[in-house]
Amino acid sequence: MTFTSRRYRNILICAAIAASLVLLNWLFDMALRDASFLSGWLLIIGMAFLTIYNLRKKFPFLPLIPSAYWLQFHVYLGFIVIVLFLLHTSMEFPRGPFEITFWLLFFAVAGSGVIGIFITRNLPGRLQQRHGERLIFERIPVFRADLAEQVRELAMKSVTEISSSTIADYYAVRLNPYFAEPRNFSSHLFQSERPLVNLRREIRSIQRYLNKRGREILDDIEVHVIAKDNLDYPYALQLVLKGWLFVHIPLTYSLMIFALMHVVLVYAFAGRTL
Amino acid sequence: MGLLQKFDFKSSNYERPTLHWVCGNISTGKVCPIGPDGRGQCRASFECEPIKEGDRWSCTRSKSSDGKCKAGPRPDGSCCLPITKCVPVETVRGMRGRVVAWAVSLTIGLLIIATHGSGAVNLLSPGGLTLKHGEVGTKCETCHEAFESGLSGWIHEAFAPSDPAGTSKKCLSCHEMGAAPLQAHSLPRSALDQSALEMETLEKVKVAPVALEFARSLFGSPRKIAEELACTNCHKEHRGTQFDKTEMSDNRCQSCHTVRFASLSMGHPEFINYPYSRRTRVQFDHVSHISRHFEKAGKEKAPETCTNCHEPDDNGLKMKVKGFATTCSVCHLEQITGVGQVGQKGISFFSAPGLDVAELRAQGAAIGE
Ligand code: HEC
Ligand code: HEC
Ligand code: HEC
Ligand code: HEC
Ligand code: HEC
Ligand code: HEC
Repeated sequence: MTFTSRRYRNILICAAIAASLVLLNWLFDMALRDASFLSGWLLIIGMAFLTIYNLRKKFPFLPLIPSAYWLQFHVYLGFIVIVLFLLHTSMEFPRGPFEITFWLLFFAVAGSGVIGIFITRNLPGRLQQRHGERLIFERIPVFRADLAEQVRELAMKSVTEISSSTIADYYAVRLNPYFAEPRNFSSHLFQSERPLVNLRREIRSIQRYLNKRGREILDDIEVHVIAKDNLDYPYALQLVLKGWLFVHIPLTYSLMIFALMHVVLVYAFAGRTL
Repeated sequence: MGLLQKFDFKSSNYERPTLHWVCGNISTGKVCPIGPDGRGQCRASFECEPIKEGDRWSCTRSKSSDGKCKAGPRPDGSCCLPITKCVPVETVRGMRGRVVAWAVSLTIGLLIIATHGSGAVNLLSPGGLTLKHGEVGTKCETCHEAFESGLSGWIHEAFAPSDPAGTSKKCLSCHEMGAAPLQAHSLPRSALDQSALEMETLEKVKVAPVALEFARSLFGSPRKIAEELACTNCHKEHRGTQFDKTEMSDNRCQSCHTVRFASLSMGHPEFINYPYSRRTRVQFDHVSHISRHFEKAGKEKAPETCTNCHEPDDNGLKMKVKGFATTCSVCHLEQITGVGQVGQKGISFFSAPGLDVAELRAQGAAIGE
């Protein structure tokens, strides 16, 4: 089975399960049962499975399923849980503060999950493409510091070698800040090279104030500028790649606590002692 | 410009992204083999731990850290190259774990404050009450017995066994529903039994719509006349002032009524007298109306649900048919006033449900003409 046909099959199975849940809910209501009871418990079970995905390494008794399958399961179950949630809430926006927070938490987790699918599908491929080298995230600042130091030396050197402060001045105003920290986060994310193109044009525009030696130094600086841009790109992408989980995972736990509280409230107030 | 990272994964030391802390020298690639402890303290001491071979100490530094050192271990067996301690850095996973811990404690803290403070009432309420309930009992305790007992009491309540009578107790403190409030239409068991018995003998059609049949086989049906239902099975709350607490889908009526009223396309059983006194019967065929006449008459006139024509009686007990003026007159008034043509079989005016002479007069009908 090819990748695409497997995906179509999975989507089909997923849609069929979601449809039968909607049907089941409808029949349950028709039999004068409380349908939110059914969808509610299915929701809790589904969300518990989704949460276990994060903890799977801590549960030795779980079967050793290859990571890729776990992820597939997590994604498809995620979609089913979204359908269940819409069913459970009758697609209505809640009215009380507790329930509004609960609702927002759910969609923050579900939404960051959906965004996460796109991130984890796209960014690693882009990282590979743009930069043959696989840089370790933690080391990028060190490489950046190296480049910054080299450029600083080039600028200092220029003062004595061409006895003009043109490059040094430019360094102080533009290059020093550029090398000091990661730049152009959003353009890298959206794959725009505009900032780099502009900066290079700017650098070349001072060529005419320089002699031959000055131009050599300037060329060298430009190479460093490109190298720095090549560092910013994987930095931005890796930041997002790691960063979205900082939303998805902590909010998941908050959501589960709200869900438990909701179950207690519903059982205490809507089920037993009215 | 050449490669920036002068070492690849193989020649660099083992990276431990799953740990909470890693060696502070990770950025230079010169991580020490021991690594920090679980609390982020550097444990580095010496570059190797020499071992004794015969009576000589031998260096054990690994190949990836440039192999055995020239000087070799000191005579006392300790390594000659102490490592300068690093400041271990937190891994991404480690940081995430910390954020999770924060999120969890923050959430629990917020919920404890929300459930204990004086604002609990407003924070926890899932929405405004219906207009009429909002007027009489905005206090949570009027409907929720457990409300006063606080979080621990609620958890305790949540695990108590299910009980429709207990659930409905508070509703019944205000709503007088007769001796058998939890039975269908609040009719006493004996009345239900008797009328059901009569219906059994009459029953022509036992087939129910497929979906209903299916729902019943999956989940059972409260159709068994004895089964008690909690008020909240049908009456929801907290959906704002405009919410119609009495709305109910036809399907849900038919969850019990399929035997006698098999479906909209099968015959309605003949109307017979009930054991209890009631108004005289009216000639009304559900099936012919719902399947044909309503369509003919058009959407604006045709009733939308069963409850357009049926309502509880004044005691809120039995189901009865609403008056002629509200149910039939939109289409049949002209016939009564003599303008229109009475249906072929003729409509029996004076047995029209709850026909109210005064009301008809008010509408300008010439009764008896
Ligand atoms: C007129 C009666 C009535 C009053 C007064 C009332 N409730 Fe309710 N409440 C209900 C009913 C009925 C349900 C079940 C609702 C349902 O299933 O749709 C319910 C359900 C709940 C739930 C369960 C959560 C949920 O999402 O269904 C909570 C929490 C709750 N009420 C809190 C409150 C609070 C807080 C107050 C005080 C401001 C309050 N109620 C006042 C009738 C009432
Ligand atoms: C504090 C007394 C009180 C309690 C407790 C109470 N009700 Fe009511 N209820 C009323 C009053 C008063 C009305 C308005 C009656 C009227 O207008 O005829 C009403 C109206 C209703 C109506 C008709 C609403 C409408 O729009 O016509 C329904 C249905 C109802 N209540 C169900 C319930 C249920 C179910 C419960 C239990 C959760 C409950 N009530 C608890 C006092 C109460
Ligand atoms: C099987 C579903 C069902 C159950 C269970 C049920 N009801 Fe109702 N109730 C209805 C329907 C449907 C109506 C609306 C009839 C109509 O349209 O006038 C209604 C109407 C009412 C009304 C308004 C009566 C009026 O004159 O408008 C009150 C009050 C009420 N119910 C209280 C209760 C209480 C209290 C309980 C629990 C003891 C309860 N009901 C259980 C279905 C139910
Ligand atoms: C919990 C089951 C149940 C539900 C739900 C139910 N009924 Fe009934 N109904 C009965 C029973 C039982 C009887 C009396 C025995 C019989 O006729 O079979 C009855 C009798 C009736 C009668 C005849 C009463 C009389 O005085 O002649 C009408 C009309 C009626 N129901 C209409 C409705 C409507 C409209 C609904 C939906 C709003 C509804 N029922 C929902 C169980 C139910
Ligand atoms: C156009 C108004 C109208 C609509 C809509 C309507 N009914 Fe009726 N129904 C009547 C009338 C009128 C009677 C009384 C017949 C009689 O008195 O002999 C009746 C009687 C009944 C009876 C009692 C039969 C008996 O033997 O006493 C039941 C049960 C019933 N209807 C159920 C339903 C159900 C369920 C629905 C929705 C699918 C429904 N009705 C929709 C007008 C209506
Ligand atoms: C939405 C419009 C509408 C309503 C409401 C309505 N009817 Fe009719 N009814 C019709 C039409 C259309 C006919 C067919 C008349 C014709 O063929 O001349 C009809 C025919 C009849 C007949 C003739 C026999 C038959 O069943 O075909 C009777 C009896 C009757 N209706 C009684 C009633 C009663 C009683 C009510 C109130 C409970 C009522 N109808 C409500 C539209 C309506």
